[in-house]
Amino acid sequence: MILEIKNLSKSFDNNMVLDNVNLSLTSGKIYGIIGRNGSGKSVLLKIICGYYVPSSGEVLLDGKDYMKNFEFLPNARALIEKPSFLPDLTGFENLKLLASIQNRIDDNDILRIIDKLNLSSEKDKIYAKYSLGTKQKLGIAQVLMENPDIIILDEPLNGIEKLTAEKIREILKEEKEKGKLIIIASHIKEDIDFLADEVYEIDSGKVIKIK
Amino acid sequence: MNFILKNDFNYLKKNKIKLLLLFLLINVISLTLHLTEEIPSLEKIMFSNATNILKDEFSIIQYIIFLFNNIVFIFLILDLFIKDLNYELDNLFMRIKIFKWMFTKFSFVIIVTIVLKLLEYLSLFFCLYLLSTISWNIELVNLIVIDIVYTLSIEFSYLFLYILFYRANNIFIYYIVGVFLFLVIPKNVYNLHKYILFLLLILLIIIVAIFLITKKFHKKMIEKLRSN
Repeated sequence: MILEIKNLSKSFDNNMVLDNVNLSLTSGKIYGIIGRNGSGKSVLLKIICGYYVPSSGEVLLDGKDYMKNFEFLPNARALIEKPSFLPDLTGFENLKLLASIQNRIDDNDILRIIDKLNLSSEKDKIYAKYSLGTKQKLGIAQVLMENPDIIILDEPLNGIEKLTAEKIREILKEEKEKGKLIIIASHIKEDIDFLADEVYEIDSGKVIKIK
Repeated sequence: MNFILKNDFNYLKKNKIKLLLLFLLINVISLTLHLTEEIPSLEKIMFSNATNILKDEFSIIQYIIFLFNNIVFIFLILDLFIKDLNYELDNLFMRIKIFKWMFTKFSFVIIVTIVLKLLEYLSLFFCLYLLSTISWNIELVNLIVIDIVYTLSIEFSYLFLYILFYRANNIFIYYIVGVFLFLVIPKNVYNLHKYILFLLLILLIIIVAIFLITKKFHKKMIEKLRSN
């Protein structure tokens, strides 16, 4: 699978956020995107997901411009925004409800990912009572549970304690070995350095390969 | 579908319950003002929920109730529509096609509108039954049906308006066009029962137009909502 970003630019009210970005991303690799806060990392991820429309240029998945049909990126899951779950349901119920949209997995698949992310002891607590880190873990669980081909994460280790962060890094490496295309944005260079096969930095709208 | 319905229901229960109770309460309070009048039950109800505003009998209270009743529903549809585009990108839109989302969303809005309208009339009937007398006739059913269709038409018209002007940087354009629309729409709801098929046709056309425009511009809407 190849995700190609060609001559992509994005501006908001004459403020150029991304300027002629060209990237070619393939399956089985982790791509890191770094840059200071507000540099345009999230905007790039949102365009790839299909939430935002580029001002110019295109994003192709295996040569197909999925945005032309007004669709979002297919076979992908993302955690770019603050995780949004139903506060009165437990973590498990929230994941089950999300999984019911596509009906691709069963309860065992959900429990497996819950266990992998060390969420088992929290799965029956209602979401409103979760700590910030646990909410983030549940957000990552919703990304991973349906075995997507493409995984897109923005600051995934925010608020997560050291041990679980280590576990998540391991899981992401496992997913890479399975042939997934993974894109991670962070303003913490160390997180990216450890995980990514290729690292890109966004500065003044330009994307530069640094690893 | 289940996710959207549960999510929306939970949202209303958690964030809008006071507004919806106020909506029911205001109509009941308004009814109590007409309880002692020597007029048929149908007229008492129409006075209380402002579904029979007559041009030659101007009543500021009726206009306020008419405005309030409709604004509650306009607010409801806009809120439910915008909320997902604003807060449910990762969870929802990576899993669902935009057409299916709209279909489920609009089904929920229609169900909620019907339920709220039925609750409104049930509370009015109950109040009449307890405190006065109620005389049943087919006209009451006509009123409920036309009121539901009318309210849905208002809701979807304003959603259509929102979608048409979402790019406007000046928020006043919504208010100006919104107020203008309120001035020109027929306010004698009961009399519209003669034109119910026509109203249903307009409603259908508006919903189809919303589907087509949203499919094309939902990403721009997401961007616009984020930049506000």
